[in-house]
Amino acid sequence: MPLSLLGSTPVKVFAKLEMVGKVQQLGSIAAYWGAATAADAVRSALGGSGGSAAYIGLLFIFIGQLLNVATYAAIGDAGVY
Amino acid sequence: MPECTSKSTPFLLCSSHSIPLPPAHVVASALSQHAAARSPLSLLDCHPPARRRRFCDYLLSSALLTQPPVVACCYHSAARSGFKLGETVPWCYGFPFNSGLRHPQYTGVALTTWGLALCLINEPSFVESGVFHAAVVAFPAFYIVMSWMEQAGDNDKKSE
Repeated sequence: MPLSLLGSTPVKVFAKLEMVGKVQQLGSIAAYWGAATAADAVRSALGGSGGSAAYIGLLFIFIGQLLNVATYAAIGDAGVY
Repeated sequence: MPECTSKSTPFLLCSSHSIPLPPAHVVASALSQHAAARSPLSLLDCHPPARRRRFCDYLLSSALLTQPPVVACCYHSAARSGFKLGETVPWCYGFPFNSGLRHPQYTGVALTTWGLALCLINEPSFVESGVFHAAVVAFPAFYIVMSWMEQAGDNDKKSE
């Protein structure tokens, strides 16, 4: 099976294929929004246009990614997928 | 099914409803002109918007079409069902499973999405395009449904 080249177990293969799915998801959003428009908006937000809401947003992102990374570290591919 | 007999025009499919493809040099010329006129990032940002959305439709449909074979291929021990089908998953009691959250990773994804939405809330194109609404409502809703589905067959009921 060609998919076996991606990993030694089904879970590892599935984890790799999930990356393809994530690229498709983000690519769909970029295509819908417009990549250049999205890039301009992100640049503008990084430049401080978000105001105080952006600080709360960054806190949300930090807590969210802390939970995400901690979950992955605790249970690995087999638990996540 | 008839054979591909044409020597001049390549065909996408060998069938009675074959789709003729443009000659390779025409495609190459169009792509090189497009690439020369635009940066790599803006290749996705083609106009009019309808064309861009067709590309988006293509990506979404390709995601939907590729998912069933993936699940069929990996269902024996993966596809988010590994623990139910014999995969060994460590039973963890430390962080983040001691935080009181039933689904810490999904909570993390929702918080990240809301955080991004808050960072971009003052960008008109983010709100007007509807991506804001997708980030605030649709994406977290997917994870809520997924949490409910996973919880419906949770294996910790057996250990209670």
